[in-house]
Amino acid sequence: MKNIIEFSGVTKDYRHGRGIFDISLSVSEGEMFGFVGTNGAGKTTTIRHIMGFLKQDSGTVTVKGMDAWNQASSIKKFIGYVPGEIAFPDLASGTEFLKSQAELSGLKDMSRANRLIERLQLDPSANLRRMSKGMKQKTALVAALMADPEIIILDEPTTGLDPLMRVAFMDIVREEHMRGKTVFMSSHMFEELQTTCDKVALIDNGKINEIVDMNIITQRPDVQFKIEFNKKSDYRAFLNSGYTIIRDQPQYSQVTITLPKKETQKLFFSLSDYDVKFISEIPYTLEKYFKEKLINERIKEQKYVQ
Amino acid sequence: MFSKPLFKQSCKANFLTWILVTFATCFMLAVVIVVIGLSGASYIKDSMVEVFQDDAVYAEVDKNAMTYYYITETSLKTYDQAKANFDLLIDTVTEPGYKILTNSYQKLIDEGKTDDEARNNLADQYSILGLTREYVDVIIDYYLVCGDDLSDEKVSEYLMNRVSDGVYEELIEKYDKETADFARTVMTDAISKYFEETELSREEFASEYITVMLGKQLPDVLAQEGLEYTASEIEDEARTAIKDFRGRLLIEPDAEIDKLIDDLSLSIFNKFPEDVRKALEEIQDLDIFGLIVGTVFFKMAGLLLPIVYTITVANNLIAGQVDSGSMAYVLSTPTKRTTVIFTQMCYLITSLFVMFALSSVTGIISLAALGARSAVTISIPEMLLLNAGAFITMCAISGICFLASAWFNRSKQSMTWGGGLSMFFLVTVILGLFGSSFIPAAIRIDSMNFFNYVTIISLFDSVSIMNGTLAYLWKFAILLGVSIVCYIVSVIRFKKKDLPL
Repeated sequence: MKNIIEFSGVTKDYRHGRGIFDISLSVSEGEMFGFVGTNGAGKTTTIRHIMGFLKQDSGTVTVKGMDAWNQASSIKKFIGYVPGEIAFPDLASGTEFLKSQAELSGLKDMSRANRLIERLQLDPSANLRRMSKGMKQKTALVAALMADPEIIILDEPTTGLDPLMRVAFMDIVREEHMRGKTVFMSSHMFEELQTTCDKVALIDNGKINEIVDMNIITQRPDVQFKIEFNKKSDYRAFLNSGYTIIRDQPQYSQVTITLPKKETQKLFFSLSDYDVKFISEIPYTLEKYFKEKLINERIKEQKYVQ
Repeated sequence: MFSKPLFKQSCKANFLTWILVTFATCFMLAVVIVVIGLSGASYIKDSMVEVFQDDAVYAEVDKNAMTYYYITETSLKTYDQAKANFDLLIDTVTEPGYKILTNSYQKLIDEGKTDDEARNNLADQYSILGLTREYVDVIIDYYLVCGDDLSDEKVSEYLMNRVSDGVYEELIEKYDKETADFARTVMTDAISKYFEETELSREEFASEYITVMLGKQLPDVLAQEGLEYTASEIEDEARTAIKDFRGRLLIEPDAEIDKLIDDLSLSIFNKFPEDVRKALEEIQDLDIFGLIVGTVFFKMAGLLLPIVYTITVANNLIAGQVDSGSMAYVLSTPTKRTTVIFTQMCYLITSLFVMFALSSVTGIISLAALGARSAVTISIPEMLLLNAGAFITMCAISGICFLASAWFNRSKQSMTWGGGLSMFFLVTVILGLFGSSFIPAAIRIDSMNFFNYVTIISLFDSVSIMNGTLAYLWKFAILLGVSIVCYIVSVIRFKKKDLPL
């Protein structure tokens, strides 16, 4: 698979510890790439490099093999971009804005734009300045997608949207991904990326902490269960039945165990002998993964310091 | 290089501001031209001109009256004396004696003697009778003109001509032939009238005669210069002047006449010291229309709104869009940064050009509506040049604002620099006006001329345009240079800088 977006050793130093440092990542064709981090971690700075708005101090950024700074205008032929801060040009209505954007990108066929508008239930004739955040976001998405670009770049697109709107929005993005588009999306919400992305990078203080293939998270060999018993005797008996206990809460007669996935059947079979109050699977999340990762790292750092 | 959709977008975004500023500027220009062109906005100046004109005319009347009075009075005195002397001589010689003398003279000439020899001969011959050469001269001179006629009329006429000739000779040395000729006719006329006069004294006659004569002649002469004065006005002035002159002569009989006349006929204006006189002259010569329309409007009042437009629009075109983030949409299409900045630059320059084209049309229509008037001192080509100058000045100012807009990513900074500098230039040119050399010295504060050296609007030399000199051309070249440099630097900077979009 061909790499569409590639960063190698990119540094942009804004001083006082701000900026991005030695970022290397690659997004291959048709991949949906998530970019997660706290506010000010460097997500937007990274995206601005792809767009050719910023010039890196060192390293290279290429999109489809072209230099993101020097060939910025050629790259834009393939990119649909939804900026993080939605501020439209000083035009009267959404229709006028979309028309102007179409003209700027040399797009004559507005049928796709109209389909997207219908799909999003957007009223584009509304005054641009009086649009709600959701309407603005939808308008920006239509503008980004109407030319049917190969690469879609979204900078925290769902921030500030209500949950229903967020779902509708992400549905469309996911559809585009299904159609084979490469998507690069930043967010500060793990769940959002977990359910949609193929790969997620964690950026912290301007440095890439880890890039995870989502398969690692979703297709883990082990599962965790939390079980509570009605009788103390059952609880005590279960403790001695040979499962790996990772958390023990005797006051509630509760245990949390981990076991290989294929042994799940065996567990349920053996539980039929006990009086079980409830049993639930503790899903393994991206958030959990990164938290563990960060904690391990901090411990390692501390050891290193000592 | 040029993006039509972006140009259209800029037009739509700034249309309202543009139309308001253009309309207001054109309206102001029309009002200023019509009001200043029509009204007596300069009535103080006009009344000053009137006062000084009266002053100058009356000073001239005074001088004429006194000079002619003095000449006339002297001539009459000379005539009176000559007549008395001549009569006395003839009485002594007696008429028969006169005939003997003249016959002897005629005989001597016939014998081939020269005039001088004949006269000497006569003087020798009759020296026993007390007849000196001088007396012989008087008698023979009279004889050569009048022959044997010794009637009172003839004698008077003879003496009158002698006096007039004397005046003529005196004046032809001091003035030109025309004046001398005129004085001779006046004297001849005056003496012949005096001859018939019985009631008035010599001084009174001379005074009255000159007063009436000036009253008859000067109104016509002044009318040729477009000045209206009646005979009685002139007469009153002349009479008073002569009265003053006679009074002064009584007090100081030995006074030098020329000096006394100059002294008494000194106009109010000429009584002022040199610099005050110059200041007053400047006010009289002040071209109010040129000052208000050409300088105050085109360099100050009329530039205010276009400058406000330029400050806000230059900021909106680049820095405002970068600051708000809306520039991201244009730059997320395959539009080059160079195209973006070049298109925005074209918009700014074109909008200013159309603004001043409309202002030119307004100016020309207003001038045409006024027609030819003495108050209107700006021609149509000058009006076009003034508009061109305002446009070129705005090119330089817009260049500075545009550079600030392209340089900074924050509206606040772009406005502070672009707007701050532009406003500084406008305010200093207004302050500098009070020290400009074309402002009359009476209301000029020379030290304020300093401000003219710190504003680029000074390079718009409206005075040179209106005076028809070419100094404005090289100043325009500098303004164009400033704007070209600013726009080029803007393009380079915008192409290379980081954009927080």
